[in-house]
Formats: sequence, structure tokens, C-alpha cells
Amino acid sequence: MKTNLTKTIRLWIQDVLPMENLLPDTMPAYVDSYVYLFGILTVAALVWLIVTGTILAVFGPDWWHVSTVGHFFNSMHFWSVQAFFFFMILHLWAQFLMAAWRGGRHWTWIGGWLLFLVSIVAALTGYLSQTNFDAQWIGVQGKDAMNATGIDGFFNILNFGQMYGLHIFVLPMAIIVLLIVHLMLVRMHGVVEPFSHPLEGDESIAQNVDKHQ
Amino acid sequence: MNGQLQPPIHAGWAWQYQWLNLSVADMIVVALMVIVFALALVLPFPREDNK
Ligand code: HEM
Repeated sequence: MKTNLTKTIRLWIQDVLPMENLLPDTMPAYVDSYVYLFGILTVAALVWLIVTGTILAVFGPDWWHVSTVGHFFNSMHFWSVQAFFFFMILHLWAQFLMAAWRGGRHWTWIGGWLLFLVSIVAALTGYLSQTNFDAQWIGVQGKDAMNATGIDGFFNILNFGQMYGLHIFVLPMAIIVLLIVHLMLVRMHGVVEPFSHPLEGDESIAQNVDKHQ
Repeated sequence: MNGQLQPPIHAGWAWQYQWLNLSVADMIVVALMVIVFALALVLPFPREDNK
């Protein structure tokens, strides 16, 4: 039968990520611990970050610095950042301790690191976007560190427009795209099996172990 | 230090070892993370009894 691009893509998706794997309604028995919730708690914090950040961007600095409601959303944005990094690090510990890169899951792990690194830059540009003396201080102190690496010629942390643009558009977009890839990879591979032994009766796990041990 | 600019951010006392600089707030957060992680490991996860 004739093939074309659309059909090839459809067959590829059906092959690597069928609907039952993308949106499963059961999980293997070993996914029976709060430890597996740290990833989704990080996602929840990110959603909250985007909601509060959008509101801050719409109303602007003269609103978030002076009005009570502005302060409230500013604080929610700030505390969402704390929750985001808090849970991301716990998620990282959990994945590290169960060596979750096993069984061909290395791109999930590497993608996680990319998410972590991009998030740090997003936090830095956020602190630079506050439009207060803290932001000014961080910008003036940090520029020397940036200069020392040479990156300052392109990434100029005294350039407010550049930092703000990166913070409210480019970096959140990058995080969202990386996150979609991260989650698709998790669904494609299934949750990593514990160290101990393949669970009896679970073919997919047995196959995986055969392949990778 | 007179006449020198002071940072507007006052994290207070910090434990200093070589390049490592941990304020009290830093240490509280790290302790909280360790506690939450330990709880997540030991607390039994509620599950439905579907046979
Ligand atoms: C924006 C930050 C991140 C978000 C929102 C996120 C989200 C998630 C979610 C929801 C899962 C599936 C459920 C779970 O096991 O928790 C997951 C799995 C995973 N994450 Fe992340 N993650 C992030 C960062 C990271 C980081 C920093 C690492 C480590 C370097 C990492 C490594 C992994 C790995 C290896 C898996 C697969 C686990 C498995 O197959 O069982 N992630 N992530």
C-alpha cells in the first residue's frame, strides 16, 4: 500500500506510544509509594507558576509592587517557585536512588537534567525581572560572574528587556516543550521496575529485563 | 566596610565552609526536604482493594 508522511507518522505513534500507554488506567503493583508523586507535584507547581505569572505579566510591576492583590499574586508566584524546586529535587533524589535511567530510559533522565538546568536560568531571570533593588543588586553582582565565562556578550543580565523576555516567554516555553518530551518518554517506557526482581506474570517487565541485563 | 554598598538581601547568619555558604533558611529547607522524602518512603500508600 502507498505510504505518505501522515500515515508514516500515524503508524510510528501507534507503534511507540499507543493510547493505552499514553493514558493508562492501571499501574504496575510496585508503583505503590508516595515517592512516585514528586514528578506530578512538580508539574502542579509549574501550572501554578504559569497561572500566577500570566496574571503578573498582564497587570505589570506597578500593580504587583503596590496593590494588595498584586502582592498576593506576587507571593503566590514566589512560593510556587519554592514548591517547584523543592519537589523537583525530591523527584531527582527518587529517580537517582532507583537508578531510573535503567532499561533504555536514559533520555528521560537526561531530559530531566535539561529541565533542571533551564529551570535554574528561568529562576535567575525571574529574580532579575522583579523591578526592585534586589533585582538590581543581583544584576550588578551577577554580571561579573557572567563576564568571567564570556557568555555576557550574548546573555547580558543587565539588559532588562532581554531578561524579562526570556523569563516570561522563551524559558517557560522551553520548559513546557522539554516537559512534554519528558512525560511522553515516561509513558513510552513505562515506570521503571524496582531493583529486586521482575514481577511474576508481567510480560513487559520480563522482556525489559531480558533485553537490558 | 563603612561607605561600602551593602546587599539589600539579608539572609542573616550563614554557615561557611570553603565555597559552601548555607543560611539558616537554607538548612531548614534541606532538613524539610529530607523529612518529606523519608515520609514518602515509609508512609503506606493508600490503595483500593480490587480483587
Ligand atoms: C520540571 C521538572 C520536572 C518535572 C515536572 C518532571 C516530571 C516527571 C513526572 C510527572 C514523571 C513520572 C512520575 C514520577 O516518577 O514522578 C517523571 C519521571 C521521570 N523523571 Fe522527571 N520531572 C522533572 C525533572 C526531572 C529531573 C531533574 C530528573 C533527573 C535528572 C528527572 C528524571 C526522571 C526520570 C528518570 C523519570 C522516569 C522514571 C520512571 O521511568 O519510572 N526528572 N518526571
